Amino acid sequence: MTATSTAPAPAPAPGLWAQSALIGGRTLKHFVRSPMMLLSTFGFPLLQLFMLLATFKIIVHDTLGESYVVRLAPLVILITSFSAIGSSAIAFWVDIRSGVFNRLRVMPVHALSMLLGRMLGDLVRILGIAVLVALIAQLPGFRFRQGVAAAAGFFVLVALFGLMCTSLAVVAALSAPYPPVIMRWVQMPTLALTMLSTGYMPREAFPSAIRPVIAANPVSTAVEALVGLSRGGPLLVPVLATVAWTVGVSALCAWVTARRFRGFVAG
Amino acid sequence: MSDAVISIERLCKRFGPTTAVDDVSFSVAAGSVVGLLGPNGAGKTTLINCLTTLLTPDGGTATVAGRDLRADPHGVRASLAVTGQFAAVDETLTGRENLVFFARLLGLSKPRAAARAGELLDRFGLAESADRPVGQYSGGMRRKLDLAVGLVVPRPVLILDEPTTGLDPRSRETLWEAVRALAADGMAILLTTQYLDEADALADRIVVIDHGRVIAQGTARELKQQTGGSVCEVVLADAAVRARAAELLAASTTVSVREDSLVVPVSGTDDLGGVLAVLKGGGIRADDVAVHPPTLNDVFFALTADHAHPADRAHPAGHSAPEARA
Repeated sequence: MTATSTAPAPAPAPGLWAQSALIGGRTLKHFVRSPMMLLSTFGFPLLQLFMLLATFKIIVHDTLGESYVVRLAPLVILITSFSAIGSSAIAFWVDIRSGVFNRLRVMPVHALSMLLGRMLGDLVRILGIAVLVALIAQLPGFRFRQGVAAAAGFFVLVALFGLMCTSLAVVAALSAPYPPVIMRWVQMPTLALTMLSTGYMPREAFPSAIRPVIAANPVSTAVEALVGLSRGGPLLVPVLATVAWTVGVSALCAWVTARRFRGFVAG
Repeated sequence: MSDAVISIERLCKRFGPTTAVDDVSFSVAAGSVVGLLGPNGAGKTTLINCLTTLLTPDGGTATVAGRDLRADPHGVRASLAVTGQFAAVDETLTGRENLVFFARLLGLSKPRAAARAGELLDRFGLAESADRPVGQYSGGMRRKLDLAVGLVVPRPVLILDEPTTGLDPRSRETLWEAVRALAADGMAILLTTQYLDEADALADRIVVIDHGRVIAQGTARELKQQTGGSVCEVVLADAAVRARAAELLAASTTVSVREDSLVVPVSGTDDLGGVLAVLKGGGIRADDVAVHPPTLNDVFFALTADHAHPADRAHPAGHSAPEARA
């Protein structure tokens, strides 16, 4: 048995982004091999799309004079993003306590690539699911009517929303004492944000007292922006508000992450 | 030491009031295996964590392949292959995917990584299971894959942290063979273990640590000689009788008191006769008497007894000076 004689000569270790991409690829492999994860982040939101359409499309059409799928499809895309927070946070929680993570720490691998890899993998998965949902939603009539640039902008906004979600997932993974806590932290707030948004029904349908809250909700601003970029409608305010929310929350998460992750890397 | 690949000098690591690694010095040469022996909590893992840059030592120095632990941790990591107590491989990926993943992280192109993965799978007898998820592997297969992952690119140093804990005898033997082959190829290998037979089978030199300190180092033979060559175990179930026998024997030899027996080092038939004579003289009837080669327990008890009374020690353990390998 020869050990090192046939081993290839060491090449210089790849840079931060190349290592992050490799670790991101591993994150994606985990995702596609986990039936439960596929079901919770992709299957359930799609089911919700078709159930709600079947139940409410006639009422909504009669009330608003437009197809329900116009706002429901963007909302479901945002819900898939939200549902990535819990599953990704739990996976990352387990990962940073695993032997693989320890091995990476004793290899010439950038510590940051373990984090960026997780976030890159999440972002690709969120965008991939968004594209799939948008395609499937074509069946009940969802359309991009504002041209290619607007459609591209639609997915850029989804990516920003995804960045916010994966940033939150990382913070949750670094902060939770044990995994079940993560679902408690994530489920209620994301459900409340979704229910109290203009995704299911227009702002006018809510009691006037809470309309400002509904309008300021990041899910509302994102739904309005995505509707504007697909069907058409007001753009500037919802897009700017969504960018402010997502970039702001992501930056806050980055600050918390920088402080907590150092502790994990240093052991 | 010019050929020392791992060189540790007066390394210290403290956690609050506890000194987990205390003034530890030793070295490992190319092509040799040094066994780091000690009970749980002796400081083995802390020492390994310092060497693998997971912890920053509080004092002393250490170099791995000429790279200083504190000045060049990245260089140290680039010189190390590490196989842990719990296999650090991805259970969702297949064996082949694990190897390719780690090889690519270390800079191999996709085709070279795939070729290297194929070679290593063949070498470690994992080719048939190469495309099954590691979650379906047995403990022995995981350990082998873990070792293979450490070898995807050449490294001068291999650190094996309790590599065979929990393995069946056949898997242990296979892993031992692999380790011997790696040493023959010139790797400097540091092996931590709780098993004397493992250190016996693999290590050219053994460093025994307890409470963070090196309490002895030498070849397996040298260490066993420190306990007197063999041990005589006198089984005495009655605690009062055991205490009295210990008192009588302690007048002439080192006695370690165990749960239901006394253990005394014996280097020949005279020693053994002496022990039996003392017991007979005291009117003590042993439940059983056995003579056997020292186990880790025996060596360890003898060494810690020595350590507690340095003046009585026949062969002072050199824990302050780095030594060349035997």
